[in-house]
Amino acid sequence: MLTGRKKIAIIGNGCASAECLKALRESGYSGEIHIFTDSKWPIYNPMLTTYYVAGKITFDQLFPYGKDLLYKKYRAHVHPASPVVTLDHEEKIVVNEDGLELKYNQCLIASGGSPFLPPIEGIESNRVYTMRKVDDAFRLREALLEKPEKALVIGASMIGIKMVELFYQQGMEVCLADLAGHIFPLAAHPECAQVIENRLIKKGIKLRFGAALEKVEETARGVKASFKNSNESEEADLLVICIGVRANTDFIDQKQVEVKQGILIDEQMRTNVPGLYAAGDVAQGKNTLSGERQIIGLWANARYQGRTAGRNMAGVDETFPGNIPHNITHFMGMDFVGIGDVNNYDKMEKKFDGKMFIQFFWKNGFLIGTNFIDTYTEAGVIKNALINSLINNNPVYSHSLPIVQNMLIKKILTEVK
Amino acid sequence: MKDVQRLLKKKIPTPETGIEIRKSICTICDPRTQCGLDLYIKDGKIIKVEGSEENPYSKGTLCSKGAATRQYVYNEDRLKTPLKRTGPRGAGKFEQISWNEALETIAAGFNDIKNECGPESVAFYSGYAKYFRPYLKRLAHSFGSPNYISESSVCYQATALSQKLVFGRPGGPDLANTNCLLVWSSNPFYTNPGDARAILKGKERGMKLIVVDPRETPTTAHADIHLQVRPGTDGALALSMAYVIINEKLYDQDFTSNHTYGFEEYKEYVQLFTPEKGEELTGAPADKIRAAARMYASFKPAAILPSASSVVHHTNGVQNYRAIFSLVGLTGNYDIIGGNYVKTPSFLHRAAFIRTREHEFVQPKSWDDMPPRIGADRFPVWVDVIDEEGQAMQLPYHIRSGEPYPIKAVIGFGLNYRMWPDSKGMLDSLNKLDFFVNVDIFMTETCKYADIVLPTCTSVELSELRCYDLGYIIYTQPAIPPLYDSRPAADIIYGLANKLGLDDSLFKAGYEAGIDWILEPSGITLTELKKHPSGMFTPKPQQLPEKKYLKTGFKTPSGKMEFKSKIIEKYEGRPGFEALPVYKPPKFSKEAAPELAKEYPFILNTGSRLPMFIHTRTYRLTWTSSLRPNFPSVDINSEDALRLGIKQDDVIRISTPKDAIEVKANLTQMIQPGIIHMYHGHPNADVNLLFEGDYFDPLSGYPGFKAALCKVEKVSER
Amino acid sequence: MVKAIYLDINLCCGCGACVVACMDQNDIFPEKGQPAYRRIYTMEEGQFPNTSFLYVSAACLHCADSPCIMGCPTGAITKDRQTKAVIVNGDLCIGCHSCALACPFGVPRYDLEEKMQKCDLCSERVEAGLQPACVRVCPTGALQFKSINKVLGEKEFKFVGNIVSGVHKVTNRR
Ligand SMILES: Cc1cc2nc3c(=O)[nH]c(=O)nc-3n(C[C@H](O)[C@H](O)[C@H](O)COP(=O)(O)OP(=O)(O)OC[C@H]3O[C@@H](n4cnc5c(N)ncnc54)[C@H](O)[C@@H]3O)c2cc1C
Ligand code: SF4
Repeated sequence: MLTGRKKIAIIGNGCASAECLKALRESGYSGEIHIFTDSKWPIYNPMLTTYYVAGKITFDQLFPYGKDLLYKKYRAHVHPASPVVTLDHEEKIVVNEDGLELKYNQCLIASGGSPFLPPIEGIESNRVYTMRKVDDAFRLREALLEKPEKALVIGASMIGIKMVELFYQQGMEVCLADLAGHIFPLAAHPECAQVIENRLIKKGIKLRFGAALEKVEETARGVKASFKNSNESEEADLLVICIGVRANTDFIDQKQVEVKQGILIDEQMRTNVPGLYAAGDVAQGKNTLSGERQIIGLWANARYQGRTAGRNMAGVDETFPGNIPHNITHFMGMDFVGIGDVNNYDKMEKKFDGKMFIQFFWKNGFLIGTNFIDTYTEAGVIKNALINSLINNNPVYSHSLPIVQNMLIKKILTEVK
Repeated sequence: MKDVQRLLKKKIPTPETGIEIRKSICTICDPRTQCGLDLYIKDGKIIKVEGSEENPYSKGTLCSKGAATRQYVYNEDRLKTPLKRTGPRGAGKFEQISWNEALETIAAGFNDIKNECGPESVAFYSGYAKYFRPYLKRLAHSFGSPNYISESSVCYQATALSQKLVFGRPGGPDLANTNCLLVWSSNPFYTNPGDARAILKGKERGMKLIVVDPRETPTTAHADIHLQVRPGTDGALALSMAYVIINEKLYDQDFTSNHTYGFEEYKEYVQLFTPEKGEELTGAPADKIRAAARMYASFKPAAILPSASSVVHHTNGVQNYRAIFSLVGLTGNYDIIGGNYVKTPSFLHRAAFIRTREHEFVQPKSWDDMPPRIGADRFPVWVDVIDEEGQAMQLPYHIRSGEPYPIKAVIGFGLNYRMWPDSKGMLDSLNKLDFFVNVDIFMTETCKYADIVLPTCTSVELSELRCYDLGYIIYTQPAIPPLYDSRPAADIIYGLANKLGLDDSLFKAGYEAGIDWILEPSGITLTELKKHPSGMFTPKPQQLPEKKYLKTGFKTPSGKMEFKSKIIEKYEGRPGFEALPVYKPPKFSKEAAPELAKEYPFILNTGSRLPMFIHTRTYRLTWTSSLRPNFPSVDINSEDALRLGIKQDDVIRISTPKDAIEVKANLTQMIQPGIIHMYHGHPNADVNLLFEGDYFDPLSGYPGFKAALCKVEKVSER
Repeated sequence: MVKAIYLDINLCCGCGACVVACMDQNDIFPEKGQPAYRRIYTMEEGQFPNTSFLYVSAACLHCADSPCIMGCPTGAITKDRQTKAVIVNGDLCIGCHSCALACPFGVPRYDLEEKMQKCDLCSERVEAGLQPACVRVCPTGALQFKSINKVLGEKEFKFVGNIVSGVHKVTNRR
C-alpha cells in the first residue's frame, strides 16, 4: 500500500479531474496527487466523440488537455486502465481493480457518468451503440465503415441530435425516437420543439415521439426495435441509445456517502464525508433556479466544480454558487439554445420571424428560462444575467450589471416586444 | 506560424516584412479636416491605413470613413479608363478611349459651343471634392465662362453669405480660447472630430457648452444646455435669445452703439420674441432659452460654432442665420480671441497665417468682364456677396429655360444629380445638354448619363496643397501611383487647358509652377514643402490682431456690423427680402401651411449626418455600411412608430405632394416625435425626389432640405 | 506591465472608427461573411424630451477568468501568458458555439467556416510597441490602452467582476 507523504486521490480522468489537478498545483499544493482511471486514454472530452466519428477532428484532438502533458506539468501519478472498485472513506483508502491501494488525505470523486441503457430485451446486442467514451467512438467508426444505410437514434436529447446530424451527414436515413412528446423534452418548450421538428422533417428525418422502446432484436439487416403500444417497429442497420446518463457511483458505499442521482455536494464541492469531494457529472450540485441539488452534466460545469474542489482541497476558501441547466447545440445548420426552466412559468413571450425564434419564460416577474433558435449572439449574456439575477435576487435587466451586458439584454428582451 | 509571417499577418512595418509607411491625407470628407494618413505599403499596395501622428489637426486619429480608405481606394466600382458613351444616356454602355482622344473630343466640343453660343454656355462644376477647385475655376474663367459652380451652392456658401451680410468678413469660432461655445446645429463628433476634441478639451478647462440641435447627438450629450428646437425655427430661437440679452442689458453697448447699423430697429423687432413666444415657435422651453441667452452673453469670450449647411437648408435659412450671427455682434464677441475671430484664408478657405495669391489665381477675369453667372437673375444678393461662384442649384432651370443664355455643355468633377432637390428634374435637365462630361473616381449613376467619363483618383494617389487653420501646410506626395489609367483631377484640368488652346501662361507653366506662384508671397516653396511629406508649420505665421474692424471698418455697405442689411434693403419688397433678420416659419410647416400639414403631418428633415457616411461617398464600402445595417433607412421616433404600428426595419412609405419613397424604418429616441430624419443621396431611396425644385430660400437659392412636410405610412413588415 | 483596452463611455460617440480600423487591421470583409471583432452598441432610454443614451464600443474583454476558455470543449481558446490576451486557435475550433453560451458579453462570432472569431488584442502590434488598431484610431480618446494597475487605481471606475479590461463607468451620461 502507498502511504507516507500527504496524498490526494482523484477518481476519474475527465475534465473535472483535470481542473482539480491544475487548481491544486496552482494553489500551491505540493503533496502527491494520484489519478485513478478506468480508461487507458488521457483526459478526453466525451462531447468530441461525435466529431471524431464524423471525421471532423483528428484522434489527437479528442484530448483537449494534450496527451499527457498535463500530468507531467502538474506532477500527477496516473494509474490508468483500472477502475476504482472500492472507496473506504473511513480508512481513507482507494482500491482499484488491479489491486492498487492508496491511503489518501483527501479525495475527489470525478468519475463522471455513463450512458443509461434501459433493462430491456435485446439491449446487449452488438448493433446497439452508445456514445461517450473513446471506445464508443472507435466502435461506431468501425460500424460506419460498413456503409450502413439507416440509423435509429433513441433519445431526442442534445447527444441524440448530434447522432442524428452525424448519420444525416453520412447520407444515411435516420429515425429519431423518444418516449417524450417532443424533441429536447427537458430544454425546449413544445412550441420551440415544434419549429425544430418541422425543420428536421423537411430534411427527411423521421421522428417518432411518445415511443417507448420495448424490445431490440437482431435481424438480417441489422436490428429491429419495437415500441410499447405500437405495431410499427423500426428496422435499421444500427441503433444508438442516448436517453440519459447515470452517475458512476458503483464503488461508493451509499450508506455513508449521501447519493441520490449523484453524489450530493455543497458550494465547496464537499460531500457529507470530511475530506471527500465530488465534482462533474457524478455530482449533484446546486441548481440556483430550483434551489435543489441536481446533476448538471455540462463540460464547463464539471470544470468549474473540479477547480473549486481543487482550490478548497488546497486550502483556498472558494465557493461555486451553482448553475442552471443550459445548452447550446449547433446542428444541421441551426442553433438551439435552451436556458433555465421552460416549463414552470407564469408568463411567456415569443417571437418567430420564420427563421429566428425567441421565447422568454417568466415567473413572479423573474426571467427563468429562454429558448432561442438561430440566434446565439446574446445567449451567453442572457444566461449569465439569469444566473446573476437568481443569485442576487435582482431583475435580469438591472443597472448593476456591466453596461455592455445591460445593453445586450435590453436589446434581446425588446426583440419580443 | 513563422515569426515574419506573424508580423506580416499583423502588418507590422519592419525591414523583414518589407512594409513601408507613406504619408498622405484623407479627403473623403472635405470640410476642414484633412486628417493625416499613414499608409502601410507592401509591394506597391496599401495594406492598412492609420492616422499620422504628425498631423496637428488629426493627431493620429481617423474617423470611420478615413479608416476605410483602403476600401475606398481599391473599390471595384473604380473607373479604369476614359470612356465614351455608345448606348443611350443612362444605359451604361461605353467604349474605352485614350486620354488623348477624350481630351481632344472635349476640347473640340467646348470650343465649338464657345464659337456658336459663347463661352458662358459651358459650365464647369465641382462636386464635393475640393482640392482641384482653384484650377477648375481658373479653367472656367480662362475659357471665358463665368460658370464655375460647385456643391458649395448647397453647402457652405449660404452660411458665408449670411455672415458676410452681417459682418462682411466671417469669423470662425476660436475653439481653443473660448469660455462659452454655442454650437448651432452641428455635431462635430460625426463631421469634424478635431472640433469635437476641442470641445472636450474646452469642457475640461470649464468652458460652457450650449448646443442647438433638433436631435440628441454626442455633442448635445456634453452640453450644459441643449436647446432641442424644431427644424427651421433657429431664427426664432436667436431672436428670443436676443430678447433676453437686450432686455436684461447683457449686450455690449459700446459695440452696438459704435460699430453697428440698424440696432434700434432690431431691438424693437426682437421685442416680439419673448422666451415664451420662443418656446411656442421653436419647441425649446422658455426657461432654457433664458438660461442659454444669459450663459452666452455673460461668459466671455463666447463663440458660435455654426454648421456648414444645416441652418441654411431651410426656406428661411439666411434670415435665420443672420439672426444667429447678430448675437455675435450683440454680445461683442466679433473678431476677438475666444470669440468669432476673423482669419484671412490662405488657400481653399483655410488660414495657415500666410499670404498667398489664391484669389488672383482663381479669378483671372473680373465678373464684370463676363456674362452673368448661373442664378444671377434670381439671386441678386448672391451676386452682391458671393465672390466665388454661381448658384449651382439653378443649373437645371438654366438648362431648361435657356435664359438668359443657353447652357449647352457641363463638365462635372464628381457631379451627382441626386444632390439637387427634385433630383429627377435635374437628371432630365442634364439629358437636355448637348454635351455632358463627368469626371469621377467611381462609375456612379450620374456617370452613366455622361457622353464622356474620365477616371480620376483618390487623395492618396496624387499631390495636393492644403492649409490647416493651425498654421500648418502640406503638399502631399502620392503614396501609390494613380490606379489603372486614372489621373489626378488637376492633371485633367491642366490637360484640358492645353487642348482647349487657352492662352494662359499659368496653365502653360504647369500644376506645380501654379502652386509655387500662388505661394510666392508667403516665401514657402514646393521644394521646401516636399521635404516635409507629412506637412510643416508655417515658418513665419502672420500675426492677426483682434478687432481688425477698428482699423479697416466692416466690409459691408455701411462699414459697420449690420443688424439691418443694406444689401437686402436694396431689394426690399420682394418676398423674403427683409432687411432685418425677420423670422418666418419654413414654407412647408404647420405654421405656414396648416392645410398641407393636415395631410402631411410629419416634418421631413434630410441629410443630418450619420457617422459612417458623407454624402454618397462611403455607401459602397462594406466597412462603413456595416456600421448601419439595413441602410437605407429612415430615423423615426419610437413613440411615433408605436402609434403607427411600425417596428424596426419595417418598410414605410414617406410621401410629400411631390413624390413618395419606400424605405426601412429605424426606430430611435434620439429624435423628436413628429420629425423624421433621412440621409440623402441613396440610389435605393433618394429622399431628394420628395422635394420640389423651387422649394428654396429666396435669398440664397438653398433648398429647404431640413424642413418640409411629409406623411408616413407602413408598407410591410420586415 | 500588462495592458488592457478600456473605454471611457463618456467619450465614446459611437462613430465606429474603431470597428473599421479593426477590420482594416485584421482584413475582415463583411461581404465575405467575416464577422467584426468590435461592435458599437447603443442604448437609449426614456422618452422625448427626457432621453438618455449611451454608446459603447465593445470587443472581447479578455476576461481575467474567461468563461469562454472554460466552456471551450477543445482547448482552442487560451490565455497568452505575456499579454494576457485571450486567443483562439482556429485549427482547434470546431464551431460548436459553446463559447457563445459561455461569454457574458456576446462576443463570439463565427466565420463561414464556423471558426470562432474575436479580438486578439493586437498582440503582435503591442509587442512591436504599437497600440491596438482600435485604440490608435479613436478620434475622441475614448478607447485607451493602459496598464491594468493604472486602471485599477482609478477608483471612479467600477469593476465588472474580475474582468481586467473594458472597465466601464457605470453612470449614465445625462
Ligand atoms: C456525446 C456527448 C455530447 C456532449 N455535449 C456536450 C455539450 O455540447 N456541452 C456540454 O457542456 N457538455 C456536453 N457533454 C457533457 C460533458 O461531456 C460532460 O458533462 C463532461 O465531460 C463531464 O466531465 P466529468 O469530468 O465530470 O466526467 P467524464 O468526462 O465522464 O469523466 C469521468 C472519467 O472517469 C472515468 N471513470 C468512471 N468510473 C471510474 C472508476 N470507477 N474508476 C476510475 N475511473 C472512472 C471515466 O472513464 C471518465 O474518463 C456531452 C457529452 C456527451 C457524451
Ligand atoms: S469577453 Fe467573452 S470571449 Fe472575451 S475572454 Fe471574456 S468570455 Fe471570452
